[in-house]
Amino acid sequence: MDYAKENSIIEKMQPEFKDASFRVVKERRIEVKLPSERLYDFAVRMQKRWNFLHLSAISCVDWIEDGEFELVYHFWNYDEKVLVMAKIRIPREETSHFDTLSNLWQPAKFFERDIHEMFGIYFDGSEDMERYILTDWNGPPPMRKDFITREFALNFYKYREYEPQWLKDMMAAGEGNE
Amino acid sequence: MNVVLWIIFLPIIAFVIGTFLLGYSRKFTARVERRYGPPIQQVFYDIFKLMNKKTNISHGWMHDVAVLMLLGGTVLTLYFIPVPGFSYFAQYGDMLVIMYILLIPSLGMALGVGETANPNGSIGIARALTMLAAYDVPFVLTFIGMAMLNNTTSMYDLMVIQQAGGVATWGIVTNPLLAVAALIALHGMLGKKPFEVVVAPHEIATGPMVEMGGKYLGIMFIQHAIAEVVEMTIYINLFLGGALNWFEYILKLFVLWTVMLGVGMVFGRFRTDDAVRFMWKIPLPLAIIGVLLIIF
Amino acid sequence: MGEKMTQRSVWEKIAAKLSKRSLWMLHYCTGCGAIELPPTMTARFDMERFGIGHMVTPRQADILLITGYLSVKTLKRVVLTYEQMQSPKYVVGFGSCTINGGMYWNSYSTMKKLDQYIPVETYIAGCMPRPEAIIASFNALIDKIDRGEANSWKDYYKNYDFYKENQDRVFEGPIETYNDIKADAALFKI
Repeated sequence: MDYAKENSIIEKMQPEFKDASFRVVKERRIEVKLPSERLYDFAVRMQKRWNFLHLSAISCVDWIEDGEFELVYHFWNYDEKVLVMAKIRIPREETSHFDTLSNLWQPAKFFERDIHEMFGIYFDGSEDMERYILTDWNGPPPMRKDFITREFALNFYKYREYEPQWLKDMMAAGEGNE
Repeated sequence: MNVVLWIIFLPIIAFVIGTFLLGYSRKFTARVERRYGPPIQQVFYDIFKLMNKKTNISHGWMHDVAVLMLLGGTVLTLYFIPVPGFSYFAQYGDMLVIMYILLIPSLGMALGVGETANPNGSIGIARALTMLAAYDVPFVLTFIGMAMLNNTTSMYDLMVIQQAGGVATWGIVTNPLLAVAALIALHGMLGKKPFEVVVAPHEIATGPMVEMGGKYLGIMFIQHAIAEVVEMTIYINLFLGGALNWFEYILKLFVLWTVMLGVGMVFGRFRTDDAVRFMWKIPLPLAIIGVLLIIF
Repeated sequence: MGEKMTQRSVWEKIAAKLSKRSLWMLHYCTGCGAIELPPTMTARFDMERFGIGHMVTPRQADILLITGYLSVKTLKRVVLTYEQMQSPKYVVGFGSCTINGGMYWNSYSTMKKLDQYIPVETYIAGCMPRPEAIIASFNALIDKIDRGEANSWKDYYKNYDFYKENQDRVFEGPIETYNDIKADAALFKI
């Protein structure tokens, strides 16, 4: 297929970001991989120059074998109806740091608070990073891949004792789990 | 001696009639909605359960006094209205006294609910006092109209005149405009839909009753039952000829209650400013025209 | 949880017979089970003929219906709501998430066993129970009140330390309650 609209958008963005790699995934979806220090310039130009006014979401992926977090920023353009996904990678530490985007888009701070609670990434420069989802949480950030949910739940909470005869028969025959 | 017995038993009789009317209204509502309803004595079970609560949460002495002021004001109004067989105090009081005493329950409740510092309660009280201004103006004008028509301010004399003359001297027949205006104002005073802005269960969490539970709520329910009877008796004595025996009185209460219930069932609920605007747009001009017709 | 009353006075028997006919349910829907309440209240499976109506504030309600799962964030609010209700009060656990974790048994932030945190009167099994099951359980609760066995509200006052220890373990620290349970227990002689 001939992606004329998407290619024209890429040609607008390519000159200033020579070290980024652009790719048309399918119709009306563009993926950009950037080095992490160029993200703020990219976001400013998205909002002010190229008319991508809607920051739809910020999401995070935990690449545990590479030792990196990947942050994905989703920008929408209402006139051309095109989605651009900007992906950056930051090193994976106990508390990784990154810059906030909330002085360009106010609602970005909610996504950043969410990612801070779930993955442990601190966004510098944000006005408040308080927890709002897991308000009484004492443990490690739960969405990281080295946090085993089932083990935590079985150890932390008390369950009811329930040993009916049919379950004992099943487990003696080697079926079922605990 | 007779008077003392009446003083003790009249509130109890009014309470029993009131609870059966309220239970009847729940059954009627349920049947219109095509389901079986609770039994007719359901309100009595509710009040019993509320008085049977073991723990109480009080917000200070003003909160406790307010509920008693609510009940006391309504019972006091009951004594000044002529009911069949007992008009001892009614001969000494007149309509102006009744108009004053009718305001005591609302004021008592306003003082008490203000103590609880719950914003839902304060909104409910603001609405209650606004509605008071809305429905009282046409109602007072109808009082004045009937007083001027019959040259007396005593409700007892009005009742005697209407009973003596038969149906042709009833307030509805001699002055229908005033009767219609008073009926609409009575609808607002009783708090039936569409004027149910004070106790709006899902909007402001039952308004002034939001912090009352247990025994306080039980007393408020008792007051609600007696207040319904009191306000409808005022209307019956002014416009529907009063009553000299209990059978006629209960029959008139029943018919009036069914008419208002039927009208209230088909409506939703007004906003407060819509309710005030309606009360001042339709019953008030009718009452004014009725009074002017009497003067000229 | 619920001691059998061996000797009741005549007044208590009459009081139980009259007050079982009007129970008010708090319209507080925590989880997925809230969708089963409107059919129970409307014309097909009419709940009002047993005297059970719905009330909007905890101060006026008798039954607290925990419909579905409770995350730890909601559990704190439920505990505060439970303490604001006036006794005697009954908690009905609705659905299998209150019994043993249900569908979310391996989740890190939902509670698994409700009667560690507040005393529970009856449970309804199912995911979600149908309105017929809800009405059957309300009838069972009414029978239990009639026999005088529905006393789990007293358990909260007597064993408050047990419940408080479980609550504080799951929350971040001791929660600030606005009702002093021990003082109330001494005042009302429970």
